[in-house]
This record gives sequence, C-alpha cells and structure tokens, in this order.
Amino acid sequence: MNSRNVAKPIEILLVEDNPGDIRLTQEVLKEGKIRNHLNVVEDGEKAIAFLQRTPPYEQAPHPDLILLDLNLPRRNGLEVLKIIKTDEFLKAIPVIVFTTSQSEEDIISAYNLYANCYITKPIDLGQFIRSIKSIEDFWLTIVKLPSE
Amino acid sequence: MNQPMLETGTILVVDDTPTNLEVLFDFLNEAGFKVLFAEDGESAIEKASYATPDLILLDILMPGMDGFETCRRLKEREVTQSIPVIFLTALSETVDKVKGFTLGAVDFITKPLQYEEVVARVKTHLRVQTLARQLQAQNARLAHEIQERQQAEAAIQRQNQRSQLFAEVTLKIRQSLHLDDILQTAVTEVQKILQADRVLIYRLWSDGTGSGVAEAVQPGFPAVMGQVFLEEVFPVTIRQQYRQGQVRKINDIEHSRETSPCLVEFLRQFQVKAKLVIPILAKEDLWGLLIAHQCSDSRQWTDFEIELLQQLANQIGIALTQAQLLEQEVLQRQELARSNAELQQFAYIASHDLQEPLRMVTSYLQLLERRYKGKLDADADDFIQYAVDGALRMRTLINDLLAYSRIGTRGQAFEFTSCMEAVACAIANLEVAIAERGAVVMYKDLPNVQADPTQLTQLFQNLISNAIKFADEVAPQVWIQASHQEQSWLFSVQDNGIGIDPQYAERIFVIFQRLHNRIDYPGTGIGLAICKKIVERHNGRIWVQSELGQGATFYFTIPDRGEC
Repeated sequence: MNSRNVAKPIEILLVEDNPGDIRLTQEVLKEGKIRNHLNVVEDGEKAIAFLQRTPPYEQAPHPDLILLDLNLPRRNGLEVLKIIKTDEFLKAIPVIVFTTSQSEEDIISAYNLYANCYITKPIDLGQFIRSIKSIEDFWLTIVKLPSE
Repeated sequence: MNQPMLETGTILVVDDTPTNLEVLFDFLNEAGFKVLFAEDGESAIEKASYATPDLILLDILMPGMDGFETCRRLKEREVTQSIPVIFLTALSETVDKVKGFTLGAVDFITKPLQYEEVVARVKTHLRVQTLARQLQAQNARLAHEIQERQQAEAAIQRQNQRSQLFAEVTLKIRQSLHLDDILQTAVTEVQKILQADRVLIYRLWSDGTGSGVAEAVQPGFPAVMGQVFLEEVFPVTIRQQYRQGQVRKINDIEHSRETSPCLVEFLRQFQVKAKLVIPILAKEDLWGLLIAHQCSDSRQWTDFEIELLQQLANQIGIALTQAQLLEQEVLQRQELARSNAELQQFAYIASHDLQEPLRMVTSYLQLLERRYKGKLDADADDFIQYAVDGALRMRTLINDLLAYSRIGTRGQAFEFTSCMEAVACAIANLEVAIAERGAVVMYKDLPNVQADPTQLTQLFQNLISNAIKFADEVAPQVWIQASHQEQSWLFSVQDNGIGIDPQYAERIFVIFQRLHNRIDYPGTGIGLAICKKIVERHNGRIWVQSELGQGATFYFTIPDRGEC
C-alpha cells in the first residue's frame, strides 16, 4: 500500500486532446477507490511545460503517473515520451501510453523509448472502465512508486 | 557467227583475171560454199562490208588498189576486220609475204591454184576462225561473269557495310529508352557516317510548325536547334509526300530545279548547299524528319546513303514508339503508385481517425446505457441498444477493411513455407469454433510452397472458418488436399455444408458481399475477399465449385517455384 494515499491524493497527468476521452477518464476515476487528482493538458508542448514547470505551469505538481496519448497536436506523444525518459528528474515517473493506435510501429517505438506500458483504448465502455480500473489497481495500489 | 557446217560458209574471191575463176567457183561450190566475186579492191571492200563473207581470197596484183592495200583497208573497218584473208599469189611474183602477214592475212596460196589445196586451206582457216570466235565468245562470257561477280561482291560489301553501320547505330539508339538520348545518338551517329556538315532531327508539330529537336553540326556552321519554323517551311503538300514515306534529295541547292527561290533563300541562312530529307514515321504518322545538310559544298547523295538513312529513320520511328509506350507506362506506374499511396493513407485514416470518433459514439452510448437504463422509457432503451450495435458493427467493418488493405501493403517476403504447418496453425487459431461445432478438419500430404507464411495461415484459416460456419445441422467436415499441376499446386478445401448457388460463385469473393443474414451467419463478408487478395498476391487463382445443399469446394493455386 502506498502510504501517501492517506496524506494527499495521487497526482495523475493526463495528456489527451480528445475532450470525450478526458471526460470519460475523469468519470471512471471518479468512481474509483483511490483519492486522486487528475491534471489535464491537451497537447505535447503543454505536457512538457507542465512537467518542466515552465510558465504558466510554475506551480504544477510533480505527477506520480502519466497517461499519455500518442496522437497529439504540436509535439506528439512519442516526442513527449522521449523528453520524459531522458530527463533526470522525470524518467522515474511511470508513463502509460494510452492511445487508439494499434500500429505495431507505434508500440515498438513507445517501448524503445522506455514507455512503462502500452494500452490500446478499448472501444467498449466496459473494457475502457476495466482498463482504467486496472491501471488504478496496478500502478496506484500494487506497485511501489518512488517518493518525490 | 554460228557455223556448225563449214561448207555452208560464204567465200569472197577477189581477182582481176577471171581466167581460172570458173574452175575455182566449181570447186568451192561443190564443197558447199557460196561464192561471191569481186574484180578490184574497191568493190571487194564494198561487197565484204555488205555481205560479210566468212573468208576472203584476195589476189595481190590488181590494177588500182592492190591486194595489200585492200587488206589494210578491210582490217581497218570494224565490219570486215575479223574476216580471215588468204592472199593469192603467182609463183613468178616476188611478194613480201611478211608484209602480207603483218597486214593481217592468215595464209598465202600460190597460183596456178591446186583446187583441192584451196578447198582444204579454206576449210582449215574457216575452222580456225570458228574456233577463234568461240574462244572470243567464251572469253567475253567469262569477262562478263567476272564483272557480274565483282558487282555482286561490291553490292554485298555495300550491304554488309550498311548492315554493320545500321546494327551499330541501332544498338546505340536502342541502348536508351529515353527520347532525348535516342534522338541525340541518332544525329551524332548519322553525322559520323555521312560526314555531313549538319544532321538534324526535325519535329513536325500538330499545328503545322516545326523545330529541331536534336542536332549534330560541324563547327563553323550555324545551328538550327532552338528555332521554331512556321508551317510554310514544310507545307501540307510536302508533308503529304513525306507521310507516304517519300525521300527528298537535293544534290545542289543553287542549281536544282526542285527548289523555289524562297527555299534557296531560306536554306542559305544555314549555308545549306545540299540536303537529304527522310521522313520519320511513328505509328504510321509523320512524326518528323531526319535531315542531312552539306554546307561546305554540293553533294551527290548516293543510293547507299539514302537507303541507310531510310533504315535508320525506321529504327528511330520504332524507338520513338517504344519510348512513347514506356513514357505512358511510367506515367501509369506513377499513377498506380500514387493511388496505392492514397490507399495506404486511407488505411491509416481508417485505423486511427475513424476509430476515434466511433469510440466516442460507442463509449458515450454505453455510458448512457449504464447510467440511465431503466430510468428512461422502453423505447429509449431499445434505441440505445440499436445505436450501440451499429457502432460496434462499424468498428468491425473498419478493422476488416484495414486487414484487407494490409495484405498488399504489409505483406512479408515469400519464403519456403510448409502448408502442413500453416493448416495446423490455422486449426489451432480456430480451436474454439471447431470444438463448439464438433467439426473435423482432415488434411494430409500438403506440399511446401514459396509464400508469405502469415498470409498462408490466414488463407487456410478463413477457408476452414467459412466451411465450419456455413454448415448444416450435421457436424462440419472439412477436407484439405493438394495436387501438383503443370507449374503450380492446386489446393482444395471441401466441406459438407450448405453450399453456394453457382450464380453467386463470383460474387462471394467481392469485399463485404454477403449471401446470408447476420443473425444466422454473422460476419462482414471480408473473409473470402481477403482470401482472394492473398492468393492473387501469390500469383495464383481462387474459385469455388458448389451446388446449393451439396457442400462447397474452394480451389486455389499457388505457383510451384521449387525450393529456391
């Protein structure tokens, strides 16, 4: 069990440009057991700014988990992933690639850039909920994450 | 003169003293000769010219023109010079026999005449004469033959030379399929062969104008390339002649009756003194002209040169046609590549961009269902159900379409593949369906073929899956066999299912074509379309033989490329 869940909520960064998916993720996480705080940015550039705390994200929290879409405006998901995994202060944060792409190329590229796991967004709502729940269970409950 | 019988010859006797002549006449006549007489040199020459006797007996001592002089004159004249002359001389006369022989006499007979001797000598000389003539004729024939042979040899040599030049140039022309290269090679080579000052390929455009498209010109003479010429340079009538393949040859522009003053004026600006124009026909239309100019001087164009150029113009025409075909093919290939790229882009769009909104529709419909089911009225629940179904089916269609388009674009290289393994793999993938239906799949002695292993498995899997799906009440049975044809393997996948009406035998291979309703036989109608695409990618053919209620047999071929 993660000791921090008593003191303060888990900080999750969702990098996602589709409002439908953002809302869906929010809805599902709302139903979850774990106290969490979902931060959302809509493109790759904002994600980098958020993580590196450059304006207007000087006050941004250091996320415990990142949900990263690949098809993003400006800087795409793989570029963001590369920056995260080559940054001394960021590379320990688990990055879950959460995307519609089923392309073998994207999967290989993501793992080569040290994505922690790759999940294809299920079309079926039931499976979508299960996926988010699994992420919650595994990454926020079972796994021991580094403290800040 | 042909004389099979010596005795039929004509003898001219020239003597001013007719004393002994009567007897001579009788002797000669008896021997079969026709005898003419002349009493002096003048009339002898006249008669000899007129009657051309076979032999002349000529008395030396005659009043007026003597025998020697008469002989000299006879030998001067073409008609009489070859007639043998025998001099008649009296024993008492002291004559210069050497002079007689020098003048061309063949013999001397001494008077008084021994008539048998005369006839014998005459016969001998006539035979000699005949033999000489035959020899001469033979010599002439031989000389003629030799001349003919030399001419033939020269002709062959010219032909060889032309063939060689032609072959060399043709080879060079054919080495390229690029239009500009072909034309440039042609002018360069023709210029070298002819040693002409300018060789030009002139393109006649459809609007009547024309321009040089390739040129080889000796230094010091102006270039024609780059100038556009108006229609009057080659007016319609001239074009018509060229279209019929006519060649135009002018050896000397300044002194030719064929050239109009304005043409001479026109040609002068390019210093043309002689020209040879050969039409280039491509696909039976006048494409342009192959033109040779001599600028340094007038020039006698030889038949050899004209023929060579005609042959080359033909070759250029063929090369042009080929180049045009190639250009078309390249364009078509580019077009095909472009449309393939578009299709790939489409596949990408289908996999990513279409799925995104579709997922939204599905997810939120399901969220609606989850949170509001039973809270709205029964109709609303139904409507939501239909919408969810439709969205899910669309998802399947998109995935199928993607799978279909990937056969061509994401195929792996062919390798030596075991069909036994491919079928085993397909059966393993279908394990659940096979168990559910209690199906039996039988196969044995399947060969190894050059194929994309993944696609080969998918091919068998789709066919087996179909065979199981379209089954009657009885447990499905599937037989898979292969037999070797001339250059390929023929595979058959036979089932005991519901069969197919032969009128739909073609249609079932078309993408998204279905023959049955979705409730009894679910599916999008992609399976056989994928099979067809896989088989075609392997250069094979696929078809079905079936009757309704009689089961179906699917056949497909895969070329046997051996193990390499």
